[in-house]
Amino acid sequence: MVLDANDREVIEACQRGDWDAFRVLFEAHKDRVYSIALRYCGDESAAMDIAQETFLKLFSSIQDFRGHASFESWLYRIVVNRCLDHQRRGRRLMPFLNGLLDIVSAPAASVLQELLRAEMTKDVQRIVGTLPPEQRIVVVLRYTEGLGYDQIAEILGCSPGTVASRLNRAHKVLERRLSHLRVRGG
Amino acid sequence: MYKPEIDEVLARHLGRVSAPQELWERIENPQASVAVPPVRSLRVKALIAVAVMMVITIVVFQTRRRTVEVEYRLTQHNAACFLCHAGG
Repeated sequence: MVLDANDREVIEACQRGDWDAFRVLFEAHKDRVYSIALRYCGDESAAMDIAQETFLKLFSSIQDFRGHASFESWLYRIVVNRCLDHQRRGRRLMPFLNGLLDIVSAPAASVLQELLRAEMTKDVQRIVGTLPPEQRIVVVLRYTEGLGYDQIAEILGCSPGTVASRLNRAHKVLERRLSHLRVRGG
Repeated sequence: MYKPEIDEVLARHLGRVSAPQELWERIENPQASVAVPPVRSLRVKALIAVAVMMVITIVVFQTRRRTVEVEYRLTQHNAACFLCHAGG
């Protein structure tokens, strides 16, 4: 994606330390960053941490951004690195623990409603969460952001062939584990 | 072999969501979000505290029961000794 004149102005204002410009940049990209974090780690609290860290990193290093690269790819790279760092810090059990705590602490009726409403999405999210990190991030970039193989390869610093191979392996696993959702019409 | 339906299922359930309103507040004031522990971590701490209390209670109960048993056996042993020595 090539930056238009308006985006370029906003980024230049950010590089001069204009806080209002940061806010504009945040509003333009907050859903994208939060969605990737949430779909990757499957936990709202951890997704907030990742999104916060991503924007703080973005604001602190925007001086390093050179206009000839794609801003979106640069931003994606920051959020992907935060997601992978978060994984390395060993918080895999938190989504499970938080889910357990939600069930323990919330009133029974609302838990039931929530379970019914979001059961399928949670199922998919949970099964995606069992994929190895390098496959999971490809799935998230592909389906949450709708990116092509070339753009995913650019963000992850690998070849499009590697992206295709990881996605193919992820598909095979998901195909098997999600078969019950398709049977139920999910 | 990969089937295209999986594309549809993933696209439907892994779509974009809206970021919570408080995200900007956390970015504007990152120290505050660190200083004030989230409700979730308070819940985790409460759960850990309850678990620790339960373990302590079980350990104390078991130790006390063992002490009572030992005291009882000692009493019986002493009584037996007394009978033997009294008889001798």
